[in-house]
Amino acid sequence: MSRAFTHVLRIVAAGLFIWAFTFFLLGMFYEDVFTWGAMATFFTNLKDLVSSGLYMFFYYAPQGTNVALSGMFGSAAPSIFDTTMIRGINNGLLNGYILQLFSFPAKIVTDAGGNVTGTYYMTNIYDANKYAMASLNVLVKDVYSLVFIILGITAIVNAVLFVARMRGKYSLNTVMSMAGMVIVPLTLMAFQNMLGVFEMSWDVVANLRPVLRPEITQPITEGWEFFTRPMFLAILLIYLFVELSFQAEYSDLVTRPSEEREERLGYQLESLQREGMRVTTTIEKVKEKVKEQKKTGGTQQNRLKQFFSKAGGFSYVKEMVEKRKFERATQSWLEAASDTRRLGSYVQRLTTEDPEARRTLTAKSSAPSAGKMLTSTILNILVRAGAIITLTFIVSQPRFILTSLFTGFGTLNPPLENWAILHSAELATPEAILVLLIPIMCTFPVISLIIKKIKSQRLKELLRQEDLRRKAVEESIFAARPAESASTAVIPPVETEENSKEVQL
Amino acid sequence: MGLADKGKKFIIFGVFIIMAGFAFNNYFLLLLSLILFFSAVVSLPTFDLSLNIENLEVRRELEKEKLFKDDFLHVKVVIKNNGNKKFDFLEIRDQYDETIFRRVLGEQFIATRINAFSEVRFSYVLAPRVRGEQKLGPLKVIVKDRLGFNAEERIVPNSIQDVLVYPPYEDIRKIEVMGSKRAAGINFGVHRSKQKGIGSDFFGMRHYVVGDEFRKIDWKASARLQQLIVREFETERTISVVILVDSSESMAAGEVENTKFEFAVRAAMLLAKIALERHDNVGVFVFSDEKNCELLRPASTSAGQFFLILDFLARVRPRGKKKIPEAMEFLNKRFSKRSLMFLISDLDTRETAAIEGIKKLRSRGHEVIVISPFSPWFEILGLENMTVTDKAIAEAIAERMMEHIMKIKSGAQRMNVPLISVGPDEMLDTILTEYLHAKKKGKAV
Repeated sequence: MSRAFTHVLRIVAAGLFIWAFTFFLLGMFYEDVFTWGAMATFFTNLKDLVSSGLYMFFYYAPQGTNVALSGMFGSAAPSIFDTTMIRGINNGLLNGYILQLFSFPAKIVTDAGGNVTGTYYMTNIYDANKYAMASLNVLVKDVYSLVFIILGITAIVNAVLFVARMRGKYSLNTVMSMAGMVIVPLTLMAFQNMLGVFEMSWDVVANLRPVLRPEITQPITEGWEFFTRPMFLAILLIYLFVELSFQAEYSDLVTRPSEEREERLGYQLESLQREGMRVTTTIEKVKEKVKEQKKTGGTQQNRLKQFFSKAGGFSYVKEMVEKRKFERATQSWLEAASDTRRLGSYVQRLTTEDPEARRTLTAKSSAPSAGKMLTSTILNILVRAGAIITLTFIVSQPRFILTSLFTGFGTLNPPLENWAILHSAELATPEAILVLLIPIMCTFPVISLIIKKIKSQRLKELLRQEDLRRKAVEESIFAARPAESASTAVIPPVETEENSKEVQL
Repeated sequence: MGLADKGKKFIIFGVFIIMAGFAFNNYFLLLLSLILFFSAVVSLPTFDLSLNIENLEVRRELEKEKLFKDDFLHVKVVIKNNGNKKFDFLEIRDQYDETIFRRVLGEQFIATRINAFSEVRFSYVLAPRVRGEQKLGPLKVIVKDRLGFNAEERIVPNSIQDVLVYPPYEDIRKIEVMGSKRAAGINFGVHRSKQKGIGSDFFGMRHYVVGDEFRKIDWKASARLQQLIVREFETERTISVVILVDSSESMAAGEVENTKFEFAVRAAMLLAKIALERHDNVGVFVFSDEKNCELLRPASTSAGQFFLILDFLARVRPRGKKKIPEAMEFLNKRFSKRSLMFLISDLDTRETAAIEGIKKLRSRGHEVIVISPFSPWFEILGLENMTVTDKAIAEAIAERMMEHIMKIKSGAQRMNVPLISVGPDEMLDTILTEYLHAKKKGKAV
């Protein structure tokens, strides 16, 4: 029953993931962020980029060679090393022949808003430079889309792994992948902004379309409105998925052992019973084989005698290697077979003599009841979720919380304009959350430490009292005994070395 | 212990995301990081508050504390919550040395939840690999919060238990099978061990020699043959058998389970069993140098003697340098009754020392038989990977050892002491054969 509860948790967590992921994609990203065609066009654009690069290489390599040769031998043989010949090669060979071997489709470059800024063709060598830049531009867009696709697939795969294996680490990986989907475009935006500081711009990055909706990029609203924002809902769903996945993992960890042990033990016992019969007959056959082997090889005693008598041709190492081979082949098998047989009868005897043995081997008593699991899980989720959301709200709203504190949550009316901190520019920055985050975060370990300290003091006191009680009891016992017996009891017996070594019967 | 690995992972991911949030001025990332931080730490105080590990009673119940090597041992672990608070997540792990025990059934750990005033039991089956006084434990308890963010680890006090592992019973079982055959008359005559001269069982007749008692003269036979003929009688005699086991460090070379020492212990156990069955008094002397000698005196053939020997042999372990003369001196001082002595030693010492040791035993009139496990036959590790040079060296060492043994052997023969070199396969058979042979000859009567 408790396993059924675990499966329910797993299904609910899976459902939550679907909801959270869909909401995250649709609510936080523009619809066309996933350009599925990017997977196919990526390779085409890559090929075009490499081809145009190669083509340029074929062009510039003879040009460079010509310049070098002209510099060296131009005065000696101007008729050979003049630029006319090389230009002829370029125009004739590259444009007229090699270019025909490549296929260069037109490259359409768009700006960040999706407007077409130019269409590029490769008709001759003089287009190569622009064409290569256009290819790079399109390729970067493909890579950008591919990164999203890969991160999205990683999130889904990890969620599937969680559902299959019930381990919370996969759900954490899912969240990290989702965070990555936000971090990647933000990084590019930040890069573009950084170039802007230096009054520079790189078209390849500048032409990338913005993928994040304002809902995820804009600062959060102050006050209770926070709870109505889509960003909060997305965060809440992601958190609930993680929380539920860890609860499911817990439930799985405490309910699975008894079930699995039962299965494993059942299988092992069945195998022992099945193999036990077969092994008995096979053991006899192997033993016969061993005997025959020994007969043909002679007994070890005889071989040892042979060795000691220095009989010709006897090699110790050869003998040992053969012996080891023989042992490896049969001895380990014999031992395993013998173990199987003995273990079968041992388990049979054990379960007959100790009726509890089967129950303890399967750890049946470790399975918790489904009812208690259900109650405790729901309570735990409610308490944790309540605490975490409240704390997140408090920490993320420093101005709102400080104002509420100063006004006594609306009961007081102090002159707020005098509180410089409330009007400071720093409080409007994201870093302001550290004002509350650090003290609140530290509160938990500190409280935990205090509790530990108090408990350890209490334990020490208990042990001290226990020790006093024990001493009092001992004293009362000794007081009741004759004096000599009490005194002899504390004198350690004198032991001679011989006495200690020799076991007396 | 505080935060467990999961908790730490949340904090690390949280730090990474909050840094990104600050860098990109993004509140989604900041909120996500806050969630991760608080998830990890929020239950820390409640975890410590509810953590009453003192109320947890964990104990191990062993089916038996003494067993034979390769027998099975059912180990039960009982976890009892004596407090009024539940433990959400409890991991109990019973530890054991895997080189000494192998687990054959069940699992030695459990992850469970335990309610107030309730009990959880689990068990597993072990088989000891190595003879001796072995340790089982300790029991480790890890208490975690539900989601595994916080954890507290403790070792259960006094949870290391001793298990005494006797040498393997398999050898004795074989002998018992032989015993049943003997009872059926299959091995009739094998155990003939009598002393001629006294007793009431007729042995034979012979010619009278000066000094024979007149009462032994068979007058009817003398009249018939016209010569004085005496009747001879024989009787079973109880002898003392002392098994001298060399426990010096050189005996421990080779594979842990198949050292010369382990074979020597098995041989001693087997010999003790057989000799006790034949109503001989059996003792064991384990020695290396003068500091590491232990004697279990030969005692009457009570049923308990074999178990005493088993206990004694189970506890011995190889230690100290080999000093045979000193050890024999130790024995001579404490035990002087003429006995049949089996000296089991690899004799990996100076030839003169080995011969002197034997001489010391002979000087007290003991009948001595030396069973010497031939070291190169026991220490066969890594032969498959040997280079040609290694093989040549191994051959040379084996021959050198052989010459060494031969020298001791010739010295021992001068004292009428047989020295038999044995390999692992026939060591047990040889010692039994020698014992039966000695009994047949009436040695040490």
